[in-house]
Amino acid sequence: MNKQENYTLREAPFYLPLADEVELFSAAYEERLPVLLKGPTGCGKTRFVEHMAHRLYRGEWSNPERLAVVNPLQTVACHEDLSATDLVGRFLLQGDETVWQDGPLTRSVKEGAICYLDEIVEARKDSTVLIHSLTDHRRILPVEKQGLILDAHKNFLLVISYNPGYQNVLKDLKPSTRQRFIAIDFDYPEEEQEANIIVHESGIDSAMALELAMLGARIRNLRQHGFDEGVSTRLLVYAAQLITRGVSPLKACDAAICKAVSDDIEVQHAIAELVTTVFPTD
Amino acid sequence: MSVNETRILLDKVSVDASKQFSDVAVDVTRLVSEDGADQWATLCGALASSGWHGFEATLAYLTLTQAMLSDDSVKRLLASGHFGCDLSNQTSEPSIAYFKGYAALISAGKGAFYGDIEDVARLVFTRYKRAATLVADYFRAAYGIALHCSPRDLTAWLELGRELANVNREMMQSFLKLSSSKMPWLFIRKLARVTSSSSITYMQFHDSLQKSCSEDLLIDLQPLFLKYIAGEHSITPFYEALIKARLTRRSAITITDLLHRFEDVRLATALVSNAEKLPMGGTIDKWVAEGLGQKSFVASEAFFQLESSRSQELLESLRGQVNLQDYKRVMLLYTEAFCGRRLTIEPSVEDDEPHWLPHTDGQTIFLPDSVAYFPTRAENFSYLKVALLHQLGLFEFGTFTNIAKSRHLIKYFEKVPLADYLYNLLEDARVDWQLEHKFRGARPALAKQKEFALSLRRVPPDSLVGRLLEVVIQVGLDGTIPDWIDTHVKLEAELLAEEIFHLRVPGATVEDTHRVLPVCYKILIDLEMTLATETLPDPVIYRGESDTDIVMLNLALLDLKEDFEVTEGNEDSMSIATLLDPKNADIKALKDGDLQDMAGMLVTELDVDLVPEEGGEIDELMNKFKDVLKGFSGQRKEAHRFRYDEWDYLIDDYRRHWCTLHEIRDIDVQPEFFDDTLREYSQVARNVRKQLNMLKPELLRKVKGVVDGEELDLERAVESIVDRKSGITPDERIYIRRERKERDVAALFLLDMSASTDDVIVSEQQETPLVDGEPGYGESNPSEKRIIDLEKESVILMSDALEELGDNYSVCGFSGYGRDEVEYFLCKDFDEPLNHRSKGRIGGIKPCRSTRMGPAIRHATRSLVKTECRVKALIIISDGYPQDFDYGKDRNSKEYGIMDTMKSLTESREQGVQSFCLTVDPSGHDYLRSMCQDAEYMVIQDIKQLPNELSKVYRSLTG
Repeated sequence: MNKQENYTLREAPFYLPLADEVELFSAAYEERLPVLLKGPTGCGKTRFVEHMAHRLYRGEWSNPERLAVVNPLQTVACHEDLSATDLVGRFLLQGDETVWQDGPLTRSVKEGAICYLDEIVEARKDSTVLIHSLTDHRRILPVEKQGLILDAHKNFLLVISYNPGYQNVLKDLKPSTRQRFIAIDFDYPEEEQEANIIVHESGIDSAMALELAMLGARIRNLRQHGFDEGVSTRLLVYAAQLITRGVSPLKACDAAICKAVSDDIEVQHAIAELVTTVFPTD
Repeated sequence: MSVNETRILLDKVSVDASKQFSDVAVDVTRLVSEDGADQWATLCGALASSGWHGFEATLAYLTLTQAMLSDDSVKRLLASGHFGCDLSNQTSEPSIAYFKGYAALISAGKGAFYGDIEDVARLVFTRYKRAATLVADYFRAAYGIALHCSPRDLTAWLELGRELANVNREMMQSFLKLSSSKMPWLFIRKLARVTSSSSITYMQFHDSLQKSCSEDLLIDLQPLFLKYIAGEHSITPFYEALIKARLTRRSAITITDLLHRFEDVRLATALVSNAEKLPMGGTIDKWVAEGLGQKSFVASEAFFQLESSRSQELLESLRGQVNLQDYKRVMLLYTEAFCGRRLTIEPSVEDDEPHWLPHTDGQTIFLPDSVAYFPTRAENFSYLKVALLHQLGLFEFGTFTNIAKSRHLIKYFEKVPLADYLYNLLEDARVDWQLEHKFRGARPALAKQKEFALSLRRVPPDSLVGRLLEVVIQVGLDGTIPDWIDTHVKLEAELLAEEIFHLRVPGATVEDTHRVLPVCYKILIDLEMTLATETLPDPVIYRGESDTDIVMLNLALLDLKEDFEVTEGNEDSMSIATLLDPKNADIKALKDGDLQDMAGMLVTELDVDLVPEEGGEIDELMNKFKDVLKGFSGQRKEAHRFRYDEWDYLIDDYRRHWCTLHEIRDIDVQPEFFDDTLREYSQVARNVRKQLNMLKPELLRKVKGVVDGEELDLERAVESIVDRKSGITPDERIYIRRERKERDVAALFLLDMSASTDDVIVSEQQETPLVDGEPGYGESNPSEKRIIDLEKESVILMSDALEELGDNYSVCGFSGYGRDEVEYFLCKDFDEPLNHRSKGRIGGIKPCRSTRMGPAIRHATRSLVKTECRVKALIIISDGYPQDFDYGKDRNSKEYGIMDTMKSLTESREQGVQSFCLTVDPSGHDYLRSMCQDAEYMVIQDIKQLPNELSKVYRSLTG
């Protein structure tokens, strides 16, 4: 794991806007409105947040205060064991002493960074409750173990994401949580836009990228067959990257797509047949 | 009698005979002594006096005399005359045949053979004096053989005749009737040395064998025939199989080589019977070796008859055969991915037989059941994939999107059938070209199939329009204008080709076809041609041909169905949507007939439950529905058909696709039975509901090792403290939480509807009256009830309780007669509501025929597995052991049925289905202990306990 002090957004992450998400997010940031990003895996939610964080903290929309923030973006991958303690902080034993360690949420609140909680519904319920106080007019973070209540830095923004098709009913966001955020929907891009993304990310030629995008769109028709998300843009980029490294398109798609999206042999076979429909055999 | 006296006698009998006698007598008197001449004359007179046709015998003798005189065989003259007179004791027929044949023999220079012929003739005559026709037949046959066959053949024939004459008259008669100069007499003689009857049998089949097989093949097979007739089994089926097989030269060589390995004629017969399905070449050796190496004769026989699973699988792998069933799910997934629609895929059939033509009806794509055009599996699979791709291309490139517009356009042509046919040809070509442009990967496979399709094209019959349409097809397959095109229409052919190429450009749409069609049509019409069905070229093998009217109707119905489904999903609209689902309507039958009946029938059905509000959304959609059906009527869809293997324990293998199961929804309904049962058994119903309600998901399960929960996990808490004392950051997951457990259950009740369930249940006299709460209290007299009634009632009570519990369940019955007529009655399907229709079907269950359990269990398992529920339960309620008239070769043996049922239950278990058999047959233990594991069956002694026991079984299976 990188030391946090050394992790920073040096280059602007590439992001191709598909609709008006950039404008919406920047407007939300101006008002410090918490943002909820909804969409399937690998469709660009995290990249979008990185992109916006760069533009706000390092790019054309930055200001001296934000430039001074060492880590403008704190990303937390939520899981079912993630508790409030993990987000806020805990006392750790170091020899004979107990030392307080700020969690990523606390650091963001203090420094005025963007805290991005990815797949928030996976987290335990006590962690989602923390969100409530940060996302209404109070903008406070109670640190119970220290007996503190922190006021959020004026530049602080909370962004969460979740995939509505993936989680089941039991793990849905409560309305009281949902209604604290403005929501931006994400989905896989149209073929042409996706091809542009693939070209940029991998350096592959546009004809091949279009074919990969077409393949992706077809495979996504198989949602509900053991892989609810279809094939993500990320995987298509991986396939393209393999191709640019000299791997044949069939083998690249087999490794990056067929075997990755499903363990069902027949689903893999069907996808493999789709691949051979799009790409000639070696 | 002197010559003159004979002449006078003959004058009275026949003028011709008298005249000829006079002529011949001149030579006779010249060449023989006077005494000899008188004897000769006496013989002539005696022959003439032998009967009504005696003069014919005399004439024949005179002809013989002339032949003998010229051949210098005068010495035999009197002897032959005496013999002829002897032969005429009954009628003249034998002597006539004798004299004529002898004369012919002398004329042919083969008079030397008369002695041998006459020897056998004397034997025949001695044995069958009174059988004049038989004797005559002998002479005719013998002289025929002598005249046309070699001396060796004649010798063989005569030996055979001598032998058969000593057997019996029938055999002799058959021998003489069947004799011909074309038969291989030396070989037949050899056959007779084994058994006399085998020679006759061969003679019976020889002509047909000769027509069916080549002469060389028959000669090659002779050692085999000799081997088989020495065996204990009849060779007749083998001959019949050879005749039917019509082996080509190539297959004959292979088959002959193979047959020499077969000792048993029955196996040889099986091989020849299936010769056309076998690949000829080296690959077949392995298959034959496997078949001969089976553990028993029965297994080998099933192997060569292609009835065993092992046999078919090996053959398929050797042939590279690809079966649609093996790849159906892959094809379905591919289809859904490619076009974003949930189309179904089914084998293509015509008149209930597998058909090779792919096609679609807009909702289902029909593909060949199996493909073996190419030597390898990969190639055959590629063919199947291209066939599918072409059908998908019709969706992808707008053929069906604009189908209504296309149909409308075609109707404006003067000759609609020609325009329609031409349009389909053009669209097929366009779709394939666009597939090649858009999908690089599909190009090689498409090119290969086009080449293959071209290689199969035939020159159309002598019809100009047929030939020009064939040009359209071949150009559309990337071929050139064929050489056989008539010179005077070559220009038109070139113009057609030029027009078609407009569809080849990337991005050509169906509108381009609309533009090209009138031009091509005009080229054909200007030649003043008419389209006759018999002149149409054959369809392209991998493209097939679809009925666009049916496609259009199906697509319209599907659109309407979606409209209904989006109307807030209320029950009325969902029921109508189910009716509109093309799966439930026989669209093919809807093409012709009266519209009002269908529309009226459907509306009547709907009216029973659903009363659409006048002017409401549903009412509006119903009217739209009637418009769509305008001009059509229909009938309810036939039962779905499914093929299942059957386990044959004798061959230790499955008999592939042995049974045909018909899934039937169209059952006589008796809706009042359901409600009456609930009323009658209200107390029992309450008890059953109570029992099943205990299964409701208030049950919780413990999850240990969580960060917060209702209880402390002591063990982990201690570990945590120890860690803390040791200076290590303790683990926080020291609690136990209870999580709600959800039921994910699918249960199928399978009822035996065999004829025996019609038996009335005899109840025992009750010694003390029943009190409230006791089983049977308040119920009607069970002695009036049949077994089937109790079965139904039990299931009804369960259905009522399950509705409250919320589990997913299905109610089915099975019966049938024979392996091709297994009936599976689907009374209530999974996810189907328990409405008046399903209640009616359950109530309408009635005793039918036999009890072929195996296929019914397999089908039930299939339905259960499709639900994808975690717990799958199959509960079978029966009254006896599995039986059917052809459930195994030995009708009196129960073993086959029991073994197959046991196997089917094992298969269910392997697929995650828990099964349980409940029987009311008192001797159920005898066979159920073989069929099921101990904990998987129950014999119910008191049938009145069936409802209670059923609910207990359910709880144990799904709790």
